[in-house]
Amino acid sequence: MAQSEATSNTTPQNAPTLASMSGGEARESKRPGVWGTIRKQRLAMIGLVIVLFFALLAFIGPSLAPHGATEQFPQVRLQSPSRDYPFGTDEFGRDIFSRILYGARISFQVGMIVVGIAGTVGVLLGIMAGYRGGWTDNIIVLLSDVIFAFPAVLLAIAVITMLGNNLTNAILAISLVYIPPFIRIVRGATLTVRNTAFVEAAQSIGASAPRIMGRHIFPNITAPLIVQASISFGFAILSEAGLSFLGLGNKAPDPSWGTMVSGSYGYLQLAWWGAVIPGIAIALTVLGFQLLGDGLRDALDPKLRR
Amino acid sequence: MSSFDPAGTKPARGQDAFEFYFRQILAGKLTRRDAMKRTAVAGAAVIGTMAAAPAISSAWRTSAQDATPVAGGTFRMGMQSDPGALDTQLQSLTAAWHVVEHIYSNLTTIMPDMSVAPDLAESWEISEDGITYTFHLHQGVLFHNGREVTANDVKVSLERLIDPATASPSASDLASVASIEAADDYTVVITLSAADAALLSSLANSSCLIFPPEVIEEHGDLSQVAIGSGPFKFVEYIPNTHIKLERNADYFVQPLPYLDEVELLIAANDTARTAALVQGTVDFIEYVPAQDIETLQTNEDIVLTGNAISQIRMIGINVTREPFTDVRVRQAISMAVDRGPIIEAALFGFGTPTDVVLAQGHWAALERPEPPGPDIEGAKALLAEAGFPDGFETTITGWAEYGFLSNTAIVVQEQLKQIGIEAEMNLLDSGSMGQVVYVDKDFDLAVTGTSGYVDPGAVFVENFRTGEGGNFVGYSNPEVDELLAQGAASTDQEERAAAYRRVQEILLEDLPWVNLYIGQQYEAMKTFVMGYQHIPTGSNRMVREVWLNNQ
Repeated sequence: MAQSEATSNTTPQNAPTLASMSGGEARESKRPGVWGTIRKQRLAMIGLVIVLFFALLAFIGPSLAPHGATEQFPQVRLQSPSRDYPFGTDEFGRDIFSRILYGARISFQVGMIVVGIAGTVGVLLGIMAGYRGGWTDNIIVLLSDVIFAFPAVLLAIAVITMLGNNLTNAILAISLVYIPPFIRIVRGATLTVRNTAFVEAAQSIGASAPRIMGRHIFPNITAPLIVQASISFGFAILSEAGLSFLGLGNKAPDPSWGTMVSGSYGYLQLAWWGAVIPGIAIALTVLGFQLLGDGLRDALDPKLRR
Repeated sequence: MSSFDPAGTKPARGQDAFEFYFRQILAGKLTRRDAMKRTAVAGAAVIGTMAAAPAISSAWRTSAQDATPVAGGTFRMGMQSDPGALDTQLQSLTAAWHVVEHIYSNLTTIMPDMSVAPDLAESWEISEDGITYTFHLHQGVLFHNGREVTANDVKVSLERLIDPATASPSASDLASVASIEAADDYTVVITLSAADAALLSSLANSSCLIFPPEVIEEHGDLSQVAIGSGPFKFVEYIPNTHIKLERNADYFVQPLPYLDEVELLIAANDTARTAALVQGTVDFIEYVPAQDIETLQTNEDIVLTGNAISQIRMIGINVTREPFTDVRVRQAISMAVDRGPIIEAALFGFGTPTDVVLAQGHWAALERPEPPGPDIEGAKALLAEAGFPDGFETTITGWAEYGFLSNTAIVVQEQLKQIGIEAEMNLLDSGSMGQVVYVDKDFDLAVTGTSGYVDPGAVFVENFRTGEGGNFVGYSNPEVDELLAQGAASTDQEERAAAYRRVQEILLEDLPWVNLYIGQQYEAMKTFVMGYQHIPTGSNRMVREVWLNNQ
């Protein structure tokens, strides 16, 4: 145990493609750390701020909401933004501000669960494929390519149709769609790490395959994984919004942002805020994760670090 | 609503003034008096003719429009919902009716003034006891497959509807029929088990379409084929996309139809449907979304027609299921409902709240004050009495495609929360809705509506008589059954009205339906579309008289 831990702690510096995550190490090498790199990138910082802002909304938003998510005030239907209703009201007289806050929670739940499921499955299969090679690799890559070959939205619609139309199944469907990119990235990274000296060393002392994959390979492929997770998180939110817009997944009257756009865009000429504001929320969140993902990519790639 | 402001509305350039003002009347924008003033001396005579509303519409259509109809052209209609299948005997969906009404003929038909007029039947006699109906068919009418329509086709078509093996949800349309005989090639004798004042109007329903029996032998049913004797021939049906029809040159009412082709384009989304009309992708849309009525009114290229409608929208309560078997629970739901906000959210106020099926002013209407506002405390007390002091969980099943109905469901769901009833929402597409609610009857609360009817007997028998296929809420009350029999047997309108009023009183106590509103319904079309008239049943069958003034 102690021996192999020592191995994995020292090897990252030996492997040229590896990203280092620990601040202590950065101090040793006198290179800027991940945080330092990100901080210098204005766009990445904007992304981070946006993501943190919406994450905070998702966490505490509903307790800030002045009204219930589905509470209807018939006397103030389609009212433009005002002090009582900061983002206006929709065709049922529901407070759009409150619904945006509740919707943030749905969006982040979707993002977290999708990244959780797709990431876990993708990492397991990707490392197996990359490390074992041979027919294991062939089968996993083939499966992943089959899923990849379907247009993502069509595949998700098919899955929801089969499993039943509700938010849980929509999340499962989106997760399935997002597995192949994880497999690809993890497999690719594993292939690079597999032939490094520290893996050979672990093999030579008789470490089991699961141990090598878990202890030695996984910690060294986290960099591309984090980037992928960040980008997938944003796109998962976008996918959920898209499916909700089509009437799949989230059920009216629950305030998923996609459902809000879909319900209100029929009233665009009368009350633009009903569809535009949730649309902006979706766009901002996805943009935030994209910017953050790009920033992380730069920060975690040693070749790009100066 | 103040949306129909006659001031400032003028006929578009090049548009016939009579036509314009007439449409304004239809749309409820103008009173006849206003129109008379505007059309001045020359108009007065025409308006007078229209007010008399003769049974045969073509008589005044030509007088109302200066121009002579021009034949030809393709008419593109934006439709609210995909029909799923075209066999109106197997399923009862407005979307299917709005397709087959252009393809098939019936024995009778309903005119824009809601009178019953001859269609395939040239004339008929009714025996004095009201039991025997003798229909004389038009001779030389051809099905689209070239064969002549004979009395035997009528017999087979109508018998298929009644046949228990068909299990039609619309079988109640002919529930009073004991036998159908073809006396000769052009004479059909229908014998009833008891007098049925609604028979002639029921025969105009899409369930009573007349088809050549060989089509059933060849295809099994009519769900993917359509061969009738109507003004248009069926060309193709691409689900969720379009239905194409072409002119039937041999149509027996000459010179109709004027159009070469009719394309029914499915545009279930309200916004898409309105946009298609404004951009000119379609020439006509049905079910004008209420939120777009005002916008379309100000568009010089578009006219609206409609308003009057005979269809009620309601919460159908599955009375065979716990806890709705308890009338107190149903009363609580009725007391919790607030119709004003429902009509605002669903129809922008273009509707009339009601707690009974028949609109005030109908000859058999039960006179009622405007339904009272909600009584939340009273409703809670009733629920507590029924054993649900904290309410309960249930489901609402509704239509995903008819925007006004899904909005109705969403408001009802929220209003029921106030008395502790937490309902999960299932909004289904038309096909699923027809199956789940109307065939499987697998629902708790259904927010839905009726299709158009002419005789009140039809709507009550179909929906409330014990064991009827259309009685989707599973309601049964022997007293109602007895009253419905009385109402059908009598030919005296006052006697019938009394029976139906009593039925409505009982329904108010039993509450299998919590009635919500009678909505207004509009069709909108480009100004070059001539000859179209709104029918309060919701039918679009007047497309046969449409011609295009842009060629």
